[in-house]
Amino acid sequence: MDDDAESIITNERYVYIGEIIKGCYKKKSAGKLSKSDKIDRIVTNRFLGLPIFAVIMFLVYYISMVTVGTTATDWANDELFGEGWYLFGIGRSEYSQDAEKYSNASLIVEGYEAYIEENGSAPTGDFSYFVQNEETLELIENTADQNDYAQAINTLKEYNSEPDPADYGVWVPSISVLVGNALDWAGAADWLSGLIIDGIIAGVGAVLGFVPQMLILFLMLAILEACGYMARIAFVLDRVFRKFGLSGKSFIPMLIGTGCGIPGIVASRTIENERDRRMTIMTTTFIPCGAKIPFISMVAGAVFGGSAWVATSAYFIGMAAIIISGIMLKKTKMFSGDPAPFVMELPAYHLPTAGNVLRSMWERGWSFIKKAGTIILLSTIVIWFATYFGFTSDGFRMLGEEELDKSILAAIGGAIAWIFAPLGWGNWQAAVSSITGLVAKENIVGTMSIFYPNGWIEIAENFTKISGYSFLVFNLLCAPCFAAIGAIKREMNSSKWTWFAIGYQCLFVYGIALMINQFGLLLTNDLNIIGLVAAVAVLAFMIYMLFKPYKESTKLTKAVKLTQ
Amino acid sequence: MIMWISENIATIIICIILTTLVIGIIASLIRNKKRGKSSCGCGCSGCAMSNSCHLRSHQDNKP
Repeated sequence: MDDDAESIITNERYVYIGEIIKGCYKKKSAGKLSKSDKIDRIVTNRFLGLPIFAVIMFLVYYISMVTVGTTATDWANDELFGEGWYLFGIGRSEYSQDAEKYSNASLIVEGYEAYIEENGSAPTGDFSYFVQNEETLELIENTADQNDYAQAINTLKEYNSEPDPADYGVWVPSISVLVGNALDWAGAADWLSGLIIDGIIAGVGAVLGFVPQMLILFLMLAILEACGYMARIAFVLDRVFRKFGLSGKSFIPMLIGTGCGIPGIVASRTIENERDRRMTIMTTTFIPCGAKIPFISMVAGAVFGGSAWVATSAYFIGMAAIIISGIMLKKTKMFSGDPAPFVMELPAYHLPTAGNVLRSMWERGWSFIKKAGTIILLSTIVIWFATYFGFTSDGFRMLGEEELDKSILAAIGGAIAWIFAPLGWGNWQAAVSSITGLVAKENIVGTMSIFYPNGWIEIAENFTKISGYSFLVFNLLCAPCFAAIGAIKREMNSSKWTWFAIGYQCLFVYGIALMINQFGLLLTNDLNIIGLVAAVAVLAFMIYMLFKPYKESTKLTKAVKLTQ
Repeated sequence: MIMWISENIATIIICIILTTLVIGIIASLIRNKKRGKSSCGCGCSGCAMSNSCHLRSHQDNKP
């Protein structure tokens, strides 16, 4: 028996109530298990509960991020806010065929010319050329012969220039192209066109591009909540959380935190125990909220070729961070003590109503869209200005795309980038993106799309898989947005505790990201001795805190005044 | 001066529209802050039980 005193007392109360009801109420199906009970025997089973939860969360993220969600988000990012699209797909296949034919011919000719440059003479037999995989960015070596070269030359002559998508089917230009044409027609200044196209449309568009994925994710989470499964997760996790010093009650704020961290933090009010409440406030924002989804999708798509595991792992890393923090903090004097008892009634499983689920999805999605139109739009204007203006030898002026390293943000980012160098992403772009994420986490995507105008390919070039994952984890677990920090301050009702919470989150995630990068480099034989020593020291400290015996004071040490 | 204005009329009009938009956004953020709404846009909709809680009490209050 691993039940604690509170659970036993609660159970006895239910047994007592059951005995009273037995005498006055006759059940039609007495002794039989209801459908909900039968499902619960499997779903809340002490061994199967957690694996089932992991599989369900993987499916939720797989469907929303990889299958349906990606198709819709790719359309929004690459076509609606990118280059344009074919109405009802008319002309798409013809263009794709011609574009592929032209691109292959160009690569063969490039390979032929590269051979001449390298060897000083034309190849007489086979020669190699390289094709880049669009998703993994891997360069694949192919071989061509003289016949292929002759065919490639003919193809290039046939097309004369690269096929234009507008020449095929019913082509609809993207929003940025339409606005760009309108600004040119009106004769707007170049800096203003830059602000609107490279700043506002690129930044806000990058964030809005993730709306389809988010709507599908919110829909699936709403279904899980409405059918009664989420309540079971709280029950399953209570057993796990209690072992690590947190109450199952802490799961409710975390569950709410999947939508937005602020109501999650406020929901911690239900925890009576002050120490548990503070710990829950400190750890609730570790769970990826809706605002972090675009950023997770961007890293998963650009650096990991759209892997569903990356998005799912973000959820479980959040949970692991909560559990590890729970264990470590409980070992300190500030948080020691028994977790609060957790009693909740599990609703019977039921089919969710379409109206409720769709309304929940739309309300969350709409608040995300509103945010993109307000705070994100303002941020993109400031970020664009600080990115495209800077001090050069000619004084303060607008910069070209090749001069962005002289911008105001490059100067600020360059001054702080060294802090993140041990984490694997010590460039000013990543450092500034992390800082702008404090305004709103969606800003990371908006900022990156201003810094890297060529999109995901350029992002992938600037991150390895290891540094990309370290960047993902850092921004996932570090201090939340300013609005959430404000909520922490309101709930803690103390500046000291607020700073402690923010400081703990930042230090904790710095240690985790350091370990990811340094141990990752060790595996790829690219190690840095000082960084590795620091990572081992962090790991040793965490292991010490995790396995340090828990001591709770059993003796009263304070002087107590006795009155007669 | 008039020459400069006529040459840059499009830029001036777009700047005015953009400035109005920015002022409007800032004003709405300040208004929301005063009303106690969060700038992050979340409220009841951010809650997992946003459409499920209090249904019973609403129904009970109906005549």
